[in-house]
Order: sequence, then structure tokens, then C-alpha cells
Amino acid sequence: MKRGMAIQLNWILVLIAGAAIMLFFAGIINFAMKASEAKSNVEILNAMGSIASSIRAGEKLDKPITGLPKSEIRYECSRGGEGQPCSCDLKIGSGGAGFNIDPTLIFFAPSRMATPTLLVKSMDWDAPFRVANFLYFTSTTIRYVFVYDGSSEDFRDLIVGNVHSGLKKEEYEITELDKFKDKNDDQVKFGDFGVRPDDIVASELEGMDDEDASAIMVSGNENKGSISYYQKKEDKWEAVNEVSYSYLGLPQLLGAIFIDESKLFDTENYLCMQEKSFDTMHNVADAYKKRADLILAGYESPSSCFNTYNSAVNGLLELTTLTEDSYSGEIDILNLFTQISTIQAYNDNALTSSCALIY
Amino acid sequence: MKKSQIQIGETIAIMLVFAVLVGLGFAFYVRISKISLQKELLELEEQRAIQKVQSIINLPELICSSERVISENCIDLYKIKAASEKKIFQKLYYQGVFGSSSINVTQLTPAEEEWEIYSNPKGVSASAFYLPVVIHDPIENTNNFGLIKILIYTK
Repeated sequence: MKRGMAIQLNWILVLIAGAAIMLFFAGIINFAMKASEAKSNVEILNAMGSIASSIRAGEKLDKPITGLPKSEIRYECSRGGEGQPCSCDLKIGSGGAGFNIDPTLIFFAPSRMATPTLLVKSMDWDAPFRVANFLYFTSTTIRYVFVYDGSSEDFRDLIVGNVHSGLKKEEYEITELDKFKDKNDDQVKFGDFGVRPDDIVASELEGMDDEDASAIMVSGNENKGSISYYQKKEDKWEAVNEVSYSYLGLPQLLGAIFIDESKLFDTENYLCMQEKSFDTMHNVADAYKKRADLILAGYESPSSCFNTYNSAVNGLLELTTLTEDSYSGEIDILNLFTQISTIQAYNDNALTSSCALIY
Repeated sequence: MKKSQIQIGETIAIMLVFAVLVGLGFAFYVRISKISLQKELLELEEQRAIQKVQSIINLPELICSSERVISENCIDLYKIKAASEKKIFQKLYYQGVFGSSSINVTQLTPAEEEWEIYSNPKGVSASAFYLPVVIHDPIENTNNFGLIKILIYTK
């Protein structure tokens, strides 16, 4: 081999070796990055999972979860087909690693949340007996703006008094909306009580991406009512799906505020959680009905306890019937609310007649 | 053999030794990571089992309540009877709550009585959890002493 050729071969070998070493280290870095991202995702999932479990254990929560790895969490609910139960997923980061939420957990969260700090709150849903402990998640990067008119001031106070401590929130009377300014927030969500979302704020947020600004219009009171979702479209508000949904009780309304329905992401998150809560109510009511059946069999007829329980059994049966088709049809909220009040009255009767309580 | 050929051979040998050393190091690292991950998974499984036990005794379908006031570590006698006799927890919905497990409630005082309220024994091994509870009789308004036995099955 000539000397010149040997030198050239040496350089080729050095190049190959260099490339191999670089590829090798690039592989290690890539592996380490993926492992670190997976570890971050697991940290977030663990934090959220342990919160979910403590909720199951009946714990009351209102606290921030700080120090989480920086990431974006997406919350999506979907269903296989018409009349089928929906399922919800939490996806973390750009890779979309995530997990399926426990199908029996009633979990309200925006479709997008940014870490490092999440806010978590829980609230019991009673109808009239304890049905479930609802879980609400949101992020400190989301700005909540509550808009009201003079007649819904008390209602607004009730809502604002029950949201997460540490929530980035502001309140405006409808007449003072011109004071609202864009603060370059990640996301802005409006809660409009008794008033339609005003285009004046949509035009103030014109520079913001449409998907980052949304609104919910609430018509009703803390017991029951209806809600409609809106999404910003350039300088105006546009109704999402052109439908309104119902709510029963303050916990479900709070859920509606912290969850969202998005035309852009084709989500039906609120509807999904509403169905789950009524399904849970159906099962709990059924358990109370069967308990009441057994207690009724132990009372002598006629007696005040027998009469109270006899009526309560029918009332509880009606409650289970009203919540039976939570996955396929609209729930009759008005009738349901009346039935809940009736069972409440039977329970008061049971108390005054010294019978076993219905719940 | 010429000097340059020996040099090339040396370089290749060094690279091979380097690659073997790095490969060994990497294999060692992966093995250690796997062991620690398995340990973490085991801990997580135990944690989940405990959380499941806690969630079971806090179910509205079992707990004692007086209007909306919930009593801790207390289950309602007639809710247990309803769950056992009327098979409340055999619905598909409760498979999502209890998973692969079996739940039995035993009243120890005044007279011993046992109820099976859920049974879905799917799995190879089972961890048993025993929880002392108060069993409240709402008609007699008495509190009895009982034990919940929860078997959680794992694959």
C-alpha cells in the first residue's frame, strides 16, 4: 500500500469512528431525554393519580400541586358510538403519553392545562344523599373572568366563593366590561352569569388564538339551570355545537365552568361527566332503594314509619328511573329536582317520626 | 505487515474494546434501571391496593350517614344486607370500582354473621386486607363491631 493511500484510509477510518461515536452518544442523549420525559409524565400522572385516590377515600381538597415538571396536559373525552358510555384520557406533553381516567371518577378539567402548578379542588355532590365527590383540576396559567349583571350578584358570589383558592380570577359587572384588558395570558375563560358573552371582550382578545379564549353562559341558580359554551372566533363569540346543557346543583355547575367543550378539538367533555354523574346517581339511588325495601319489610303496617318508607321506596324508584338512560337521552332535570326534594321531605318525616333515616 | 496496517489494526482493536466497554456499561445501567423500575411498580401496586381499600369503605353505597353527615369507618347494616341479598355490586359499573377483588363483611358482635358483597376473583395471587369497622343498625340504632376482608387479585 502506498503511503498516501494509507493516510487517506486512516482519515476515512477516523471519520467512520467519529461518526459511530457521535451516533452512539446521540442515541444515549435521545434515550436519556425520552427517559426523562417519561419520568416527568409519570411524576405528573402519579400526582394526579394520588389526588384521584384520596378523593375516592372521601378526602376534601382545595390545594395547589406545585413543582410539577413543565408540560402541557390535555384532557379529552370521547365515545365509541351513539348511546355508548364515554371514556376520558389525560395526555401529557407533545408525545401524548397518557392514561385512561378511572371510568367511575367524576373529573372536571379544561381541555388544556399547563404545569408546573395545578390547582385541585373537590366537592361533594348530594342529590339528596351523597352521590360522589367531584374532582376539579385547573392551572394557574388560565385566567378566569366572571361577568354578571346586577340581578345575579348573589349567584356570582356563591360561585366565586366556591372556586379553587389561588385561582387567577377577576369579576366584572356587564356595564364595566370596557375595563377588561388583554394581559397576554395563556388562556382566558369567561363565566357569564345571566348574560350573553359580550363581543367587546372578544374584540379586546382579537390578537389571541381562538382556541385560547372561551366562555360559558349560565342561566339558572345554584339548584339547577342550563349552560352554553362559546369559543372566540376572531373578534366575536361563536356558540359551540349550538346546544345548551343542563346542570343539577352547584357542584355540577362548577364542573361545567372548569371543563370545556370545544368545536376546535371536537370534545364533549362536559356531556361525558354529566352522564357519568347521573349514572353514579342512578347506582347510588338504586342501593338506597334496595336498602329502603329491606327496612320497609321490617316495619309493621300500618305505622308512620311504614308509610314514610313506602312512599320513599316509590320516590327512590322514580329517581332511579329518571337517571336510567343517562347515556342515551337527556335527563329531565326539573322532574329530577322535584323528586330529590320529595325524598328530602320523606327523610325529614322519618326523622320527626323517629324512624330509621332514609339516607 | 506494514506500519500503517498495524496502526489501522490497533485503531480497530481500540474501537472494539471501547465499544465492548460502553456496551457493558450500558447493559449494566439498563439492568439497574429495570430493577429499580420493578421495585417502583411493586410499591405502586401496593399503594393502589391500599387506596382501593380506602375507597371501598368510603362508598356512599356502604357508609353510614345521618342526613348528609358521614361517619368514618362505619358501614350501614342494611346497605350491607342490600348489597349481599340484592347483588347490588354485581353490576358492570362496580367492576370499574372494585376490579378483581372479593369483599366480605363479618359482624363479630353481638352475633357472628358474614356477608359476601362482591366477588370477582380474577387473578393468580391475592393480597388480603382486613379492616375493623363499626356496623350501624339504623332500626335498632345500635353499633356493632365488624371486619371487612378485601382480597385484591393481581395477574
